[in-house]
Amino acid sequence: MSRSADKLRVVIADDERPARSFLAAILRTFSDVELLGEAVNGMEAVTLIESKQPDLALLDLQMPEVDGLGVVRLLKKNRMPLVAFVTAYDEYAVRAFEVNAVDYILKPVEAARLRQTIDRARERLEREEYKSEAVERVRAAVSDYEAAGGRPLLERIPVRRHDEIVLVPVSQIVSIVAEGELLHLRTGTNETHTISYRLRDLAARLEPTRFVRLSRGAIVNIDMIRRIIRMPGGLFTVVLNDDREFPVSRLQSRLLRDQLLRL
Amino acid sequence: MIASTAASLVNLLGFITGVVLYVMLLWMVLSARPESNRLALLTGLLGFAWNAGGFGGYGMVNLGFTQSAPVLLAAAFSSLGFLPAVVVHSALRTAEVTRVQYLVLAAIAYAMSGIATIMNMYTAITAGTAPSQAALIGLTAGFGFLLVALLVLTRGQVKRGRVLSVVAMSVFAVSALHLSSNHLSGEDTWWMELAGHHASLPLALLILYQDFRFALADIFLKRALAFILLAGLIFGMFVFGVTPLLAANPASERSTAVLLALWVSTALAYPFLRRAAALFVDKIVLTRVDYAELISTLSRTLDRCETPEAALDEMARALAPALSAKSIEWSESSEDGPPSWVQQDRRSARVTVLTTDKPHYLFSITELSGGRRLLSDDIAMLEHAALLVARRIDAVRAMRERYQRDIQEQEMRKLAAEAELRALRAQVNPHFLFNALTTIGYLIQTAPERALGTLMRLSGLLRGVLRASEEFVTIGEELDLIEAYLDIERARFEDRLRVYIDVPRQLRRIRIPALAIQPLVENAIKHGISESLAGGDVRISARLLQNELLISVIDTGPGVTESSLQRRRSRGVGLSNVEQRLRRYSNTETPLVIRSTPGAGTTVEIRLPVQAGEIASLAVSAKSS
Repeated sequence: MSRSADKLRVVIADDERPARSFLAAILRTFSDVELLGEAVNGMEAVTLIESKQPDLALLDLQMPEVDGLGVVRLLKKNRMPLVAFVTAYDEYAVRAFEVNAVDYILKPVEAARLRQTIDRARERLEREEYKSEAVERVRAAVSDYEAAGGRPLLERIPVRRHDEIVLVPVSQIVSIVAEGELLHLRTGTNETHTISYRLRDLAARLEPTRFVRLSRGAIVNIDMIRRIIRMPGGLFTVVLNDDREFPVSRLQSRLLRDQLLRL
Repeated sequence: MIASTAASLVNLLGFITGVVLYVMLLWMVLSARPESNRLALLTGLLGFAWNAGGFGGYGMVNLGFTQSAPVLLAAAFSSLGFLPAVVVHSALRTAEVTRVQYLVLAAIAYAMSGIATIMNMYTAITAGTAPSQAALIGLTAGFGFLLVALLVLTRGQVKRGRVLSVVAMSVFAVSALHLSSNHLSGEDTWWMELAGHHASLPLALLILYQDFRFALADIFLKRALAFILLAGLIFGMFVFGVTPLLAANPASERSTAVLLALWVSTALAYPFLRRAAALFVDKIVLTRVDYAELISTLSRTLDRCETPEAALDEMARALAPALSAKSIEWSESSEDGPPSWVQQDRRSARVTVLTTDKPHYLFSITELSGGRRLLSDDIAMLEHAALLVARRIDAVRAMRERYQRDIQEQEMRKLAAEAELRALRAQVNPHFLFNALTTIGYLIQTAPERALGTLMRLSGLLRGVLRASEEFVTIGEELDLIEAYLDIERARFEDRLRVYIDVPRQLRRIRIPALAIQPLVENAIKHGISESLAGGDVRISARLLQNELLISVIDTGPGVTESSLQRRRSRGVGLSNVEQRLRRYSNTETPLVIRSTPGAGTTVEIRLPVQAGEIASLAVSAKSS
């Protein structure tokens, strides 16, 4: 990794040009900062970060389709730079960031405040152990923020396919299966996508009338269920349109019986 | 024989009346204040003794029950003999005389009565007759002298008339005895009996009238007068009707029929006599105002009172003269209501005005003049008046409460409207504001001229929103505000935001609730433009449909599913505030409709009622322009 004269390598992402340019203009006044690029939306930001591998990413919290938090989710873990979020006004987010010691800057961005962020990033970069910790912190902040309920239901889920980002409409999703820290989404066209998300967090952002949780590790689209088989011991097995079978956990069997199997 | 029968009847009726009168006097004196008025008590006792003795001595003889009893008669006459002494004594107490005069005159009076008593007893025991003529002469002469002495001593004094009339009356009672001095012969005429033996009756009446005018008149005077009138009627019939009839035509069937008719008519006359007596007592003796009229006047006056205080003052003003009270005062009372509305003791009364809600009010009626006590119809009147006032106060309070509630409701409505406007301002504020400031920051660096323009737009917008304390603005004013807002958002989103405004010029004068459209536009930009990578269009249009105005704000943003929309709306963000305000303004349940299609955009429509007059003026302005 070539660092030009110890300059801090920074990328910024904001969908609003005035805000983006304003931020960029301040950054350019800092002699120890190198602005690697500006992304005009979240998806561009992911590509930009993964190609340029900056030290610090300044991400606008509100962007269409893939916002600042979405960028963090989509980034591969080992490509994650230090992150500072930029927001005009968002109480929930600010609280989540403060709790998890994630840096954030309020708009309109003040040069002195941005200077602090740059300095802090420098300090943190010097301590290798902090970097891995920082990734966890950002993810925890994202989780907290979503749990706080500040965010609307998902209409489309941004996923990575090779090097590009695809928006998968939730209506096309047949099943979501958890595997470790990853989730595998299967669509009606039998494609699978893998995202980094906790199943619990994602479930909270899906329409409860459209998706049903079958066990700790699986959510399916209700419209895609073909039949439900009763198993010995009061358990169920769900068979989807694509003939895949999902065992239902004891707890969810009961919920399923109460919610779905009642007329 | 007939004369003697009439005389016997007079005696019987007279002594019974006397006994009743003096018993009442006694009872009054005892229930008033016996400890401080021993002389009045003594007067009552003596009068009672005379009448009881006379009844025993003469009446029973006349009825044929017993033989004449000289000692009893002597005792009765002695009682009568002491009566003037006691009266003179009490007159001396009231009159302004020196201590010496007082003692001398009182001693003389009692000495004369004492001597008369001894003489009466002596005659009764030794001669078997009563009374002693010498004693009667001595008493008459002695008290005549005392009367003259008092007359001289008390000349020019205020209470003179009262004192002297009592003494004169008592002297008359004694001296009149001469008239019937030969009553034992049984040949006296009835009027001579009346004057001779029952001259003590006017004395009792006089004392009652003067000292217990109000206290006794109620329970005593009306009944006594009715009784006396009845007695007079019976006696008149006997003397002028029955006696001649029986003399001319003894024991015939016609006489029996006439007697029966007389008896029945006598019985029928009683209620009339009672009413007449009551009227006489109220009007002439007590000179009391007509309570029925007082109440009706009071109720008319009360109707004009707008406060409890005024009503209470009115009542006090009406009652004070009617009850001849020195002062009637009222005060608030938070106590629970007493068992009765009117409570009285000797010299004052308390009337509670029992209103439905606390506080109640308490009237203190103090210092009733003339030793007056409240009579049964005074109390009835007081209760009636208190009830009237209580009802009026209830009405006034209810009216006031309703008025206050109305005011409060108006106040609350106003506050709610203001709060809603404030909430709207808050919603317009933070996110938009900081983004706008960021935009301006950028423009300062790149295009200072535009930065200044945008800054002016922003301050104009903020002023417009913050000033929106009036609830209504014209559509034109609202659009000006929206234009200012859009200018800033255009600078922020640049070519991602395209706005089309289609509002006919003549509609711009219609008044609508302030900030009814701007939040819709802001909402469209927030969800339609800022969440779309490519941006989109926002269309603002207004149409007049019959008597309502249809305003729609359409965006071509990503749109949302129905359930997501429900979820968003149930959280009460964005448009719920506008919807609530419009709901109240238009009185329809769904003044605001949102339709959204994922991938196609969102339409928000509001419908507002338009007054017919406003439509008419629009038509006129359309023609003229």
